[in-house]
Amino acid sequence: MLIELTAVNKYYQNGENRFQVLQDINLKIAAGEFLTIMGPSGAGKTSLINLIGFIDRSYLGSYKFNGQSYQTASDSALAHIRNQSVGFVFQNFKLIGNNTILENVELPLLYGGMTKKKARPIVERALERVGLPNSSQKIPNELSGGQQQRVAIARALVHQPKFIIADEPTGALDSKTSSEIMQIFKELNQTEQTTIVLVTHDPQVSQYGERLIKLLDGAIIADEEVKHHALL
Amino acid sequence: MRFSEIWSTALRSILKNKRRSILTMLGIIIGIASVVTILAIGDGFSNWVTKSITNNKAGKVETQIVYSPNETANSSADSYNDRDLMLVRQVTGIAKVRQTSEDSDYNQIALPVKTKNKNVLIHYTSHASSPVIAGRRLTTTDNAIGNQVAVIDASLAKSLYGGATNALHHGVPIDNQLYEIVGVRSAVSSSVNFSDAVNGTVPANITIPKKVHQKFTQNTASGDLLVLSLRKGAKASTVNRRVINVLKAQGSMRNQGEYQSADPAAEADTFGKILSVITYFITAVAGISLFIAGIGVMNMMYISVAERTTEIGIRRAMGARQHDIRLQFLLESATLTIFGGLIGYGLGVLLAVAISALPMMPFQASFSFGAFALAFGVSTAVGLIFGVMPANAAARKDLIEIIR
Ligand SMILES: Nc1ncnc2c1ncn2[C@@H]1O[C@H](COP(=O)(O)OP(=O)(O)O)[C@@H](O)[C@H]1O
Ligand SMILES: [Mg+2]
Repeated sequence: MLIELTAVNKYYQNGENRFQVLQDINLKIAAGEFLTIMGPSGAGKTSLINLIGFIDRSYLGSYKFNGQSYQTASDSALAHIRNQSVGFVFQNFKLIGNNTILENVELPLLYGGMTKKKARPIVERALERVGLPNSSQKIPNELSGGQQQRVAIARALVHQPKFIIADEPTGALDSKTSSEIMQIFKELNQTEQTTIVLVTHDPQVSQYGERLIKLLDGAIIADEEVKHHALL
Repeated sequence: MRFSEIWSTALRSILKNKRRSILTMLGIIIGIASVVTILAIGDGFSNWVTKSITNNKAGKVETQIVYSPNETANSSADSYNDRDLMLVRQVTGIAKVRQTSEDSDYNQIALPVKTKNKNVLIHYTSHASSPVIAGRRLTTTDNAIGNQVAVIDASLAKSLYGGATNALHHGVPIDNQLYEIVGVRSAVSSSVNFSDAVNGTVPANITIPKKVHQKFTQNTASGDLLVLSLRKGAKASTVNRRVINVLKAQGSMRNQGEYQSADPAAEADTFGKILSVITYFITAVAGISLFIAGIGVMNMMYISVAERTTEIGIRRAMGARQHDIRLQFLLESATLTIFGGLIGYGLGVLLAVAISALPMMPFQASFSFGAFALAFGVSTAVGLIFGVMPANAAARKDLIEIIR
């Protein structure tokens, strides 16, 4: 099993109050799955995927990635596993504003120890892959929101991670652009069997995945297969 | 990430913020430029001093001690006796001691002969004079007791008094004083006398005792000189001080006058003192300037870290370790100050060249690798020292807080 969470609980300490953000989460994700997580704002979706993406390790319970726990790993070890295994796509793109597209997309490769020279052709291919050829020298501000999210997806897949985490990737996009972006994710999952964990609160967006988890107040209230509707 | 890639990232982020980077560099530029300028001028100066004081024939360093009698002193007495010379010779650092006079031993004067003035060469001697054809020579006693006597040459004797023997015991006016002619030597217009050449004296028309001449020409007779040849490695100022101390304590004329050192490099010495004061001053100013510049760098780095929190979060999410982030910001601040240092070095060189082109500067500025290394080292150190805290702050940022 690629990802296996067993009895995971997480609390935030707000002054004297202890706030439980995840409640007894049991979740298995196999390689090649396209999982969508839905839930209202504040349900704990982001908290959950940060935990899965090795950004956060202050939780109770067990999280095993390929059978191994990283809860007590050092900061460097965690950075390394993030670099090797995870691709991140964020709601607000999170591109470095005054860096070129090339400089943004090459980051996972450079932090993996590659030279800029070697990284460049790989970056160009990734940009082609998301439908943005010949844009490596532009800066993010010259691109539309949809294009910026494509750049972010290119950055998430450029180093061929074990899985991609997308936190509301269409949250800042109109519905037409949203479906274009979702098409890219779907294609990625179908043609390359890339594991995708995608967070959304848009029911339409959830239709692209194969499996849907519903989260409410930090607890999984539903885990079901997606019934594909006619709109796809 | 590879070091080279982290460095190029740092470099690009400096270039992307040109105006702020240049403003931050300004303090470093000024500080380094002033240090480089003063070092170049200081080096040029010490080269010049070394060259000018080692310029004597033997290639050795010579210094001088001057004795000047005070007004009440009996000026006919010798400035240094044999015991003085022996004492001085024993001072450490001295290779050779030579006694000489500060003023020239020869002079050209206009002598009234009949109705006209005739230019004659006059020689002041403290030794015996050359052989004479009539009368007697001058002796060291003439000089020692101050006899107002003269030896003139035959042709001058002839034009003044018609003949060598006629001239004897007549007077010859020199510097408004009448000297008794006690001897007549062979005419000097004829070829140079062999024995004169051996003595190292050039034949003169008139020879008179030196001390008598000095008595009339100088109220405050400028005393005799001791020329000290120094041993290798001996420092002129130290040796001079020792010699003066010895003479002040035991010199034969210590109660009649004053001993002073007349270091040929004395002019250089006072200049050197002024220069070293200026050097300390500028170094202090540069030090303060560099410190303030360092704080400016630190301030800018903190601002930069705060502004680029998202960037830090993104990099961390993409696999940057804390170490990578720390190094990136540290290299950024060091690169900034090294740039500043190099610009400052260039500016300092230009400034030093401009200063040594001024007409009042007697020497050229000199540029050493040491000054370059210092500029480079100091600017790097400022960047690293003042960059550490902001870089650590950047590395310690909580990823979860940034990514939220
Ligand atoms: N670092 C934090 N410290 C304290 N409370 C937090 C923190 N992060 C999130 N929370 C709280 O936890 C709850 C769940 O947040 P989040 O996981 O972001 O939910 P979602 O992504 O589903 O909107 C929210 O109420 C939020 O205010
Ligand atoms: Mg969220």
